[in-house]
Amino acid sequence: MASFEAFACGGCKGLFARSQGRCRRCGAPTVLPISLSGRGTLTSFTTIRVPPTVFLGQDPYDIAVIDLDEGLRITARLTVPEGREAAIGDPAIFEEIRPYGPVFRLI
Amino acid sequence: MRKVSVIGIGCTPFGKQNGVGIVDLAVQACQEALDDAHVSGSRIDAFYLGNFVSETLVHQGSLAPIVAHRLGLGPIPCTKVEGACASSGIAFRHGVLLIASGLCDIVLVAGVEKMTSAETGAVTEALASAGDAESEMRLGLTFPGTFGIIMRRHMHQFGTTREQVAMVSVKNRSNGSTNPKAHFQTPVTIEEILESRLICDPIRLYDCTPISDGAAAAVLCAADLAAEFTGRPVDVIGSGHATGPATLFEMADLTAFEASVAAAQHAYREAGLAPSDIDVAEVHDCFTIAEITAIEDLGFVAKGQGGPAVTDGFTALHGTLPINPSGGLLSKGHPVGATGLAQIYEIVAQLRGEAINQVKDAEIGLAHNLGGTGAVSTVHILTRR
Repeated sequence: MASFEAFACGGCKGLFARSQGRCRRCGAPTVLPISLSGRGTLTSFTTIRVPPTVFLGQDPYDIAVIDLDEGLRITARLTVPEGREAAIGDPAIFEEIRPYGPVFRLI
Repeated sequence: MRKVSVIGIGCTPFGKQNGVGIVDLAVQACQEALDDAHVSGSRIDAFYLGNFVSETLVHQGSLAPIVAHRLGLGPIPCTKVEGACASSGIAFRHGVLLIASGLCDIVLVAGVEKMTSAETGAVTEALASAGDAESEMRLGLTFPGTFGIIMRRHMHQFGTTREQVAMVSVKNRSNGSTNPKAHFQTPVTIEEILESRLICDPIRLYDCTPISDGAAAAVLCAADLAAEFTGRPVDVIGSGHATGPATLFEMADLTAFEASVAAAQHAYREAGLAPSDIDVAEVHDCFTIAEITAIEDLGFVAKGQGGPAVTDGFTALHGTLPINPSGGLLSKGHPVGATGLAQIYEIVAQLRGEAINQVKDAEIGLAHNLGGTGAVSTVHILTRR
């Protein structure tokens, strides 16, 4: 299972999906990389059927907002296994980073 | 701070306007507003123009000075304002501030967008630039997708039904059916909405606004000078402008826009009013679900009660608080840079008592404009004298 790379503030322990100079919550200068479990649940999701021109050919594809077990909220592509249907609250797990961003899989 | 009034309004028809360029559209709305205010171009002290994607879709920058020159405004300061779909709400706000501060007496504000000359894919891509290009838009998220995620969450969290959400479009398309400037002037049934093509689940085609061309404008004036130009000035008594995160994953609650809540609180505080004091409102219904979250963010209904408020008639034309009597963005169309001032156009018409769908005895009106994934919002409260 792949770990999900994120960032944590050394001051307030806040988690962030991307790096930043100073913590935007408490202002501490120490925001450092952290490995998360890559496990979470679906907060909501959609299926993109009319994509921007650059994504034509990939459609339809799913995008989900996922709350990771450690408390970080992220947005990612979602892979739904054949025969399954996603629902809010379903568990999902991090699979890989693609050129367009993180991919999670419904479990 | 000085008090500020609206003394003139103008708005082009919204829709597909073949052969009419972006500058022509802006000039047309501005000229109508100047004529309405009985003000000549030489009296204008400054010009703010709201526009989102003119560089991308029609390859025209320098838009504010070009429009001002065509209007013969002289060598006054001219500024283009960009805040995605809230561009002209912000232009209005800055016009108000210039006068309130005492720097100017009369300011022209406008908003314009030319969208129908570009391919749909190019428009979707240009609009997506209002999102966060480094994260969600890089993933391939679109605005219908963003609001699809919000709608699914609202339905899950509050039991909002698919039919309640669709009723926003039924109501607004019905309101817009008598508006000669609206892009869509035909009503739509709940069945037609629920059977229309899926765009980004659960958002369907008729949950979306059309791609439109259009412009709107207003002439602002120091309140103590207004009587020189008009016997029926409309006063700006609350002006809120706030920002929030530009991504879904940075929103604490997927069913509320922090920027709308903060802008509304500021405007209510400035006006010394509560949501229950508002007689009529134009809110940013860029998708059906967006009207439901807007009336909650603005405090017109309790959190989660936006769905029932539509079906029980609270927001209907003859309801307790008519929302989007013009037809809203869903019916009028959404030439993104023009939308904020088209909302002001409708509210001023309502407060003058000359609106197409006149709300009886409307004294206090509110206009709510939203840009990006809740990145920016303006809320203005206006009143007749």
